Amino acid sequence: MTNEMATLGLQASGVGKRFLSKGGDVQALEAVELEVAQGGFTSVIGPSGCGKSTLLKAFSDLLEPSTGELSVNGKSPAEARAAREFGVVFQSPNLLPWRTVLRNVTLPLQVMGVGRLTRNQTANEMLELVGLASFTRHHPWQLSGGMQQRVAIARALSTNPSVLLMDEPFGALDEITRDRLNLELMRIWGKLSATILFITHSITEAVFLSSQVAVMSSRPGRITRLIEVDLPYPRNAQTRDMPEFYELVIEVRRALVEASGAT
Amino acid sequence: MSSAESEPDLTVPDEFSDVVSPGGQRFWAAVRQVAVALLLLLIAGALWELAKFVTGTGDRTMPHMWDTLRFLGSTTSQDENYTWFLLQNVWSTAKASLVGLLVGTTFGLTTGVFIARSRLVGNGLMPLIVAAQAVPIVAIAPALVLWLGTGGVTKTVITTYLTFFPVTVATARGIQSVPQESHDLLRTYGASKRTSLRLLEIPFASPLIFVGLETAAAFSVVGAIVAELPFGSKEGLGVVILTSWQFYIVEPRALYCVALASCALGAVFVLSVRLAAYFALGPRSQGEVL
Repeated sequence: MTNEMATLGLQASGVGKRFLSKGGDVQALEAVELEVAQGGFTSVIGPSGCGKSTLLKAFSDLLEPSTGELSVNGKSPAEARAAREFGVVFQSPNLLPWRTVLRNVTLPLQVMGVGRLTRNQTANEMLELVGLASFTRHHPWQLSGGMQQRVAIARALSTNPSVLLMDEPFGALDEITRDRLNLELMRIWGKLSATILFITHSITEAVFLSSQVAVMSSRPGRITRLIEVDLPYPRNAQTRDMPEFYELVIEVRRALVEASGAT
Repeated sequence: MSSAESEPDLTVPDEFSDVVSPGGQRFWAAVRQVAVALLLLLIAGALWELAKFVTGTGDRTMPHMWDTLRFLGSTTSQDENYTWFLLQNVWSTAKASLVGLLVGTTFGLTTGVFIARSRLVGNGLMPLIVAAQAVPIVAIAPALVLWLGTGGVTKTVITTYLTFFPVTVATARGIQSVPQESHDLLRTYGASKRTSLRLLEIPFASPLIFVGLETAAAFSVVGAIVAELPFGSKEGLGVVILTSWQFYIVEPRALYCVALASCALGAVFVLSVRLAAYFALGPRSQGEVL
């Protein structure tokens, strides 16, 4: 295999996806090239409907690409899913309303057949990590949107995945909550050293979180620029005040304008 | 972590500390519900009397409410208390209804899952099931009695036939409305079809399934009574209804008493399902039993 090179956390080469539909076929992805080092944090940013969620679904083995190859920790997405190498956080919290917060977090472990005691212990640790230790017995509808999404993150982390695939997890939240959760995600990531692929349409969020921002154009969805974010980790509230932060925000914005102008 | 002030504020907002503590309120809510139900019953009785008074209908066609109720205390030709006699028959019908409801529910759940799982089976089977429901059961009940006899089998077949439909539709629709994202979620965990039925589809569909069950519970009583109507049955509300028809000219109050008993049995069935839903669904049952 490719043992001479360090295994990549995530890799896409020549990935294309064509959807067949009545109104004409849609080329959702075209020749997507992306590499995320293990332990790296890459954001994919682009306008709505540009295919960034499609890319994430391809990585998480929820749909097959029409062309090209994907790998997660050097394995195919299907193998990686079977080996529970990744956890997915969806656009909506996607919690099961009839389960308590604790039992939502234990769900993946229950599916895997982990015993009750172990899974409750793990879930409690994860809820502690996302700052919801005192909400284990609440039901999802008793929590705010931001809290629900934190439960979803705890759930994704409960299987101890080395890769986290996050599909606009904070897209539905207000700016203040989003900023807060970004800080918290940085804190959690600092403790976990997981590889993260983060889909977003917020420029500041992408720059703040990632070590690499992939800018996508729409129709066909293609990665037009890769921007390295060399702001120091750990990042915190002060990072947002740095002049380099603003320069990068401007650079990403320009890249997005170029990407949409090209089509 | 390097800087403490970068930690997000994780303190618990006050408004979450005492969410849902119905406790004592629940008791008074129940009392209120019972009071409202009794009041509505009284109004129904008053309307009956009003209709009788306004139209000038005689006691033979529309006996007074209180006369009908007083008849419950009378004695039958077998020297038995009439209420006791009715209760025995209610019990017989209740048993038949319950058996049919259980069989019909099992059958309906299975069919519903099948229909939801396979579009092909669903599209083919659903019109057939709907068409079968359009057959008036009273019309074929005598034939069924000829084939299967007057015993429990006929009753079970008829009640099953009436009860499985609402359960089937509710189960199928409930499972079909599980959001794609939830399916995706279970898929990323590598859940088998069986696991996702148990952990996702059935729990998601259960509020709707309970609505179907409520309808089925009422239908099961009707089904059992219809199955008892053809000549040959020995006990049950259907038999009492038949006898009361024959003696209506002599004693109209008997028929109204049986009608009330049937209503009561149906209500007990439906309320039992609601009670079960209340306990099974917990906070999702949105409240009240009555």
